[in-house]
Amino acid sequence: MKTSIVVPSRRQAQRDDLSSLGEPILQTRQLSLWYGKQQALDGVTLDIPKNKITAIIGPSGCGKSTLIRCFNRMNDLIPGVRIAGEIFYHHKNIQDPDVDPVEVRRRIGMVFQKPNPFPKSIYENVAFGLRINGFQGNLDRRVEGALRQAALWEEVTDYLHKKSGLDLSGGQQQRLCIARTVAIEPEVILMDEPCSSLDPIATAKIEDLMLELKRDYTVVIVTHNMQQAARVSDFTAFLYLGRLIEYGPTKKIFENPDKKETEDYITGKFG
Amino acid sequence: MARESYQQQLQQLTESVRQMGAKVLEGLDLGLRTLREHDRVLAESLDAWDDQVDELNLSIEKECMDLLALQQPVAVDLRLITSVFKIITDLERAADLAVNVGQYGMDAGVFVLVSPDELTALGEFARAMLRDAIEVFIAKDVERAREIIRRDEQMDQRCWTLRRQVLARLLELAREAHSPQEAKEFVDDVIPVLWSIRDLERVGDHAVNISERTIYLVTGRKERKAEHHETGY
Repeated sequence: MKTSIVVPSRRQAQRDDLSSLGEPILQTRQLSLWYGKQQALDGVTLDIPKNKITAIIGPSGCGKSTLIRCFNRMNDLIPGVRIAGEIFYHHKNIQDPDVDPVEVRRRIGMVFQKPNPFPKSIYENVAFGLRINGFQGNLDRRVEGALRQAALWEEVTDYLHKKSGLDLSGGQQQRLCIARTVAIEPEVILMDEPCSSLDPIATAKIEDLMLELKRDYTVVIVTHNMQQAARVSDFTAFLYLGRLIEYGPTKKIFENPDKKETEDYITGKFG
Repeated sequence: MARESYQQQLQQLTESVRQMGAKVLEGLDLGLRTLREHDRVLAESLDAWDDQVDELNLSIEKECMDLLALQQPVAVDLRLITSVFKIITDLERAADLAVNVGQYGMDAGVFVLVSPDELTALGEFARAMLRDAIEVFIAKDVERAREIIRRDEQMDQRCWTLRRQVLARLLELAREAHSPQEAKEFVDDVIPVLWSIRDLERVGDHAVNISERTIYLVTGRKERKAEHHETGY
């Protein structure tokens, strides 16, 4: 029988965060992953700190998206995937047989590259996850709270039931997807290239939103846009050919990285 | 290599600093010759030369601004651009000091208190520091940069010794003066001499700044002058 992961409540988590800043919420140890015979990750070991934004950068095919999909077991859904090494969430190995992947994904939400709202009203988009999780509280209040957290409430408050999520602009759709994710109060939000299909204004709104969200959530973002990683993240991990080349505070990575490969990549000498 | 045009612009930036450095050394030579030869025509030519240095300064500053605005440089590229920003200010100030030194040379009494050889030898020492600092920046040679920083201690010592000699000579001349008016003239002569020494010392300080920037450019670490000096100042 699958069991729920025991995690502290949000309030407890915030207290912990105040008392032990830098406590990792997610950890990988010698994590390797193969799609069939092709190796995508090679011995990645890193700690993701709580209530921080961690950016994962690297050239196409380096394993960035694969890595964040490991954090909520999204790779389980891909046929032929083999994983070696460990992935810890609150020090619990999420690959253990007693861990329910659905529960993992409830705690560790994900926002994708392309906004993917459901063909339902704005309200139902946000309420959807709550309904399927059997939420018993005040749904209206929770939907409003999520839309406010996603900085979308003011723009959609008059059309909650009248407009479909698909009627919104690209940037609004992505914020709706973020609202849908935060509605179920995960602890971690994984973002896979969340701004790659957005214009600069919409991108700026999402970046502002990320900085707001990190007060309540841990954010892990995969991005090709190095300026975005530099602007929003606290820590940056550089992946190349499936290996973690360098990981550290974003300022250090972008001002004075230790590894030549990192410097060559971020200065555009390859990639 | 990706971003070839950008990499070429960065190389051009280093080349521009080399050109500006050569121009400043040329002016420093001119200033020292003016001092030594007491040549008014040479002294007047310094203003036009200083204008050229100012133009180079503005032009390189614009190169830096364009790179920052258009290329979003990071890591070693960012350190190069911020270092160049600072280095051209040091070079521009060294050029101003060269003009000053030339102008002090127009004062007839300078060499009553100090021999031309001693003052120009100090100038050559400062010039060598500046020349080497520019070379070291181009070559990105951290060890030589540290050597220049250490050399500044000798520069400071030379300046101190020369100042003492000048003041001792002043006291001697004042004692031998035939009238209070004659003694006062010697005192007036001491001012441009001390300023010359001070300005040449500052040329050495700018060479140190450039060397420190070179170390930062290569290592990403700021090393303080005191870390290199035995006396720790």
